[in-house]
Amino acid sequence: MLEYNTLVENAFMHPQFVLPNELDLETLKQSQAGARPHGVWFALYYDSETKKLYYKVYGSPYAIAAVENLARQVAHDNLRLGQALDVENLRQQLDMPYPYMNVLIILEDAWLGLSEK
Amino acid sequence: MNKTIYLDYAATTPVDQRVAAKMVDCMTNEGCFANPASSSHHLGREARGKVEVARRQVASLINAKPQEIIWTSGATESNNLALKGVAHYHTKICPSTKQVIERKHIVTCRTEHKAVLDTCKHLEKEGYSVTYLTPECDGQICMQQFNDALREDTVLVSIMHVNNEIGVVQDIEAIAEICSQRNIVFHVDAAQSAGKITIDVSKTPVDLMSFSGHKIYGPKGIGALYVRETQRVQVEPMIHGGGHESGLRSGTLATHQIVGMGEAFEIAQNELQTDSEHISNLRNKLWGSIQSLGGVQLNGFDEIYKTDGKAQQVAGILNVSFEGIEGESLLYALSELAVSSGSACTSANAEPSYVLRALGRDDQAAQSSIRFSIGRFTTETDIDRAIEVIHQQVKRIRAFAA
Repeated sequence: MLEYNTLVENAFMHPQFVLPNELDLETLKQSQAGARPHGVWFALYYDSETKKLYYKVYGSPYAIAAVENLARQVAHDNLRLGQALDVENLRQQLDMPYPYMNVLIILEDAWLGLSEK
Repeated sequence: MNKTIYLDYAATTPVDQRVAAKMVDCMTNEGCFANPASSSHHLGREARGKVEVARRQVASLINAKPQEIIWTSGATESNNLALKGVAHYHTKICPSTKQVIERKHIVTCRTEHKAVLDTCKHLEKEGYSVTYLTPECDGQICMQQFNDALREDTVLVSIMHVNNEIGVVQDIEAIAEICSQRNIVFHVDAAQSAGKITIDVSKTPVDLMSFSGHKIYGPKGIGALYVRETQRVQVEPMIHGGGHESGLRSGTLATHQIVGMGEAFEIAQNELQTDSEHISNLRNKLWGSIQSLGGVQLNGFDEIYKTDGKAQQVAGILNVSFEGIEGESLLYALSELAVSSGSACTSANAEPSYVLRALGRDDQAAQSSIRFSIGRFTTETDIDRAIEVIHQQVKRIRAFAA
């Protein structure tokens, strides 16, 4: 098992933006990327009213940490819908080894998909 | 942070205190530290005596003769010695033309330990031909497939007794009978079965059997190879220099390691019944609770014994695939438990377990599998806490994608 930094650990153990059951999906912008059989899958849900991003995820701790940190950036208004995701910066923050880059590319796809809605 | 709960007994076991005490007696100036090969003084002869006691202890567990036990550095070396030793002895290959003069065919199984598979790969490079049997989806070898694989030039069959990942027991009695009838040498890797299920080589015609010290509450770095005392079983040594161990394995004997292994085998023999009951109870409790989560698949057998009373599964190994969870996340979520995963999570391209793949599991099921292995020192409190952690974390991680 790999060693993860505190950011990954915190996001994995204490996620704040996993999609809550009570939200009405019809009011949210949605986008998906990846596939479970391939080991990584993201579903993003954007609430235009509260300007919060929620998600569902299947993948490694890096995948969970990446999408949780994306949601935290949105919640703190550090990233807005339509803005480009700084993939390399996120990779560095998570101390993510390069072979995991596909996780961020798939997340970026989901994020771009959301922006296009 | 909570104390890590050790559930990885199939990887290695802690040394039993009683074993450690015997070992310490053979290490220091006050103890029996002399070279067992130094027959010129009584200290050497005393060490030799302890080595021979240990040899009897190991032989006793499998009902063998003491002289049929050869000390090695572990089961990996024993497997290497058995496979290469038999193949090289029985097969003559012309060094220049590579033309094979005698028997050159070996039969093994895809789910064997790497110590056997990699040795077979090596022998293939030397010109030997190897048939790798594919097990049934329950992990057992199909006897019809096994029979069909045997050839006129088959020199050796190597099949493990208990699989280290899923705990399935192979029917070595049936395989041994066939090999004996066809005059084929039969080697068994018994690293995971010694001390867990009864082995009696006086009744089962196994020719060679590999053992490890550290899988049975003994020290690491010591093992043994049982070599049946018969003209039919001839092994060419791999290590030369001194002619120790009847010329089969040269090198100064590590008295403290050997004494430790001997003591561990004797304790295992005396406590086989109580260990088995204790471990079975804990396993049943753990598996029962995991099953209640739903979306889980057992890799191996639910029942320890077949209806005819033969063991088909060791109790100590419980391998489970958890649906809806990615393997690396599962292992991380369960980091309070020292367990093994069904994939090599050392890189982004985690390779799913070749054993589970050979059983026909898909990549996802293989990667999301966990091997829980229980041992003599596992307590009910450990299992209760493990159950709590598993329930908590599996539900939590599944909710990410639900």
